[in-house]
Amino acid sequence: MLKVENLTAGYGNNIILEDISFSIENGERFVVLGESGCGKSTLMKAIVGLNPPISGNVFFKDNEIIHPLPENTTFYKEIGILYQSSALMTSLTLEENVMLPINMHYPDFPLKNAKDIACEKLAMVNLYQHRDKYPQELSGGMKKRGALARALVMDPDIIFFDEPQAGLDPVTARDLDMLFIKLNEQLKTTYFIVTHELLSIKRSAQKVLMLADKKVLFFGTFEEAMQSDIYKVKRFFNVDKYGK
Amino acid sequence: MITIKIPSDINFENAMSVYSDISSQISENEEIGFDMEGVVLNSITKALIRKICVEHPNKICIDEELKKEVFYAHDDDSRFDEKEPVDPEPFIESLGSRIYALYGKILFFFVIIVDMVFYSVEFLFNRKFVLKHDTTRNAYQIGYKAIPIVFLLAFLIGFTIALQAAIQLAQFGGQTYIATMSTMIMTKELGPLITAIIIAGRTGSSIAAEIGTMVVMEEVDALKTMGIKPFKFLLVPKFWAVTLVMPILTTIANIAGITGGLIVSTIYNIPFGAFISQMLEALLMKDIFWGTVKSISFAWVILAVGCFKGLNVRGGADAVGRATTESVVVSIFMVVAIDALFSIILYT
Ligand SMILES: Nc1ncnc2c1ncn2[C@@H]1O[C@H](COP(=O)(O)OP(=O)(O)O)[C@@H](O)[C@H]1O
Ligand SMILES: [Mg+2]
Repeated sequence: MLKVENLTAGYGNNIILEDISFSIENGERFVVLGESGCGKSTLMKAIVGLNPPISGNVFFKDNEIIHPLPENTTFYKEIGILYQSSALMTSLTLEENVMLPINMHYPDFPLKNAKDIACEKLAMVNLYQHRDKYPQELSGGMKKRGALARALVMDPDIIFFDEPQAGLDPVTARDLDMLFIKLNEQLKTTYFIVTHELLSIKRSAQKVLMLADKKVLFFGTFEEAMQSDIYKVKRFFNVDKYGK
Repeated sequence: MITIKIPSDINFENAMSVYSDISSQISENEEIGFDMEGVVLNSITKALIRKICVEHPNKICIDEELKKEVFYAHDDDSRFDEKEPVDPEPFIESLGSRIYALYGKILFFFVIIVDMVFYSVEFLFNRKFVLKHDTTRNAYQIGYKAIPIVFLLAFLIGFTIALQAAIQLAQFGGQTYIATMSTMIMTKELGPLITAIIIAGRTGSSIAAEIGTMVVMEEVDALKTMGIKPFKFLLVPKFWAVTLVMPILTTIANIAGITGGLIVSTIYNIPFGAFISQMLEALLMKDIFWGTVKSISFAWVILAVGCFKGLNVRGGADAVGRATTESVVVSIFMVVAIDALFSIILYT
């Protein structure tokens, strides 16, 4: 589904990630973890092209993704992204936000049907009653769910999540995780989740990629990660036991 | 070696008196240690010890642990490592890198202008990536809402200038020329200029703020990764809106300014009919045409500057505020500069 080979990424001359390789299977919940500042968001931005990789290859559904992408690319219709700040357009209502990708890519698609799809997606994330509100009028958890509805609207093959639980209380975070998992099982969409929330990882991770010191420290299934002998991996899952 | 007792109740109020107390004790002795019994190392106490240690480096003996704590040197801190002082960048090189940075900025600015025009023309054939009704909404916001202020300002300026001119003209009986002067100065220069300055203040600043906020809130990134071209989404509706409303606003400004002149000439007892016939004589197609061309090019520059400043926002709310201010200053400057350029080309 997504394959990354020998990827190096950074900002200007500042190399943040070096020689990263991994692959993600269809429908998998893939979690990238690591300490704050280790380059998790950088990895995501490199893959989706917001900050294209310095070197290395990214393959999406067996096609190589080379930035800048050609004019007629379908890549951005096939991915969805849930930003840390939700990134809903503040000048549009929730419903208009969710409709936005349809309106933009298919300007001739009837408005009524676009609305209908948007409403269905909003119902999916339990926001149907709030569809006429502006993002500023929603709580953090609701914004995240709204952004998820927008990410889902074009039926993407993969959704990228950047720290979806950041700034949420544990109960809301759990509800959100449960919603993610339910939709993943229902729609078979692949998930690429960047997070460092232990509880969330335990709930949702199937495959795990751990980054440390610019490199891949661990790549494998969640069960393997829990049993790993690598010190930093053990410490990540049991911080209080290992300490510094 | 004497030991000075550090008081355990140093706070921001008494710190200076404690400091002078300790300083006087230090100046009388050669080797000093501190008695830290019961002292809590809060920020002001640490700052005090730090200050004393720096001022008397050869007299104070404190143990390494305390020194580390007080000088906030932690394991990963290289504060105490001796370092070669780095040579500041030589003048020529720093000049070079600054010119290079400036070159990059100018290039980016032209990229914005070219993209703006390109996507706006392309939009006529391909409606993708632009919100329906966004152009109308923008035209309403940028144009209709600005009518009262444009009218009022142009009227007042037209009136004031005509009044000053009339006082001079009246000295040799030339009051009748008020109509000619008002008409020419408004259509040639002040109409487009006043409108552009108002648009820079109202629209340029709001574009910079809007785009800057969108950058900060990751909305621009979100647009990109939804496959929506941010330039097209953000600029095209505004481009067509200003291109449409600018000539209309300029005409309103012209009318308002000339009305100001009319009122002055009424004060100077010039008949209405005479004013109108003189005005029509001074109203040249050429001036109106070039006035329109000027006003539209001003509007495009204002848009591009607002967008440029907005997209360059790095940071948070303060950066958005700075971008807004800068966009107004830069766009007014550019408008006036371009106006001067037009004058030189057209009227010399
Ligand atoms: N836009 C940027 N420009 C320069 N450096 C950046 C930028 N964004 C992040 N960095 C740096 O890259 C490193 C990794 O950041 P990031 O990928 O955001 O970490 P995280 O794993 O917490 O998501 C950090 O050291 C950060 O300072
Ligand atoms: Mg991050």
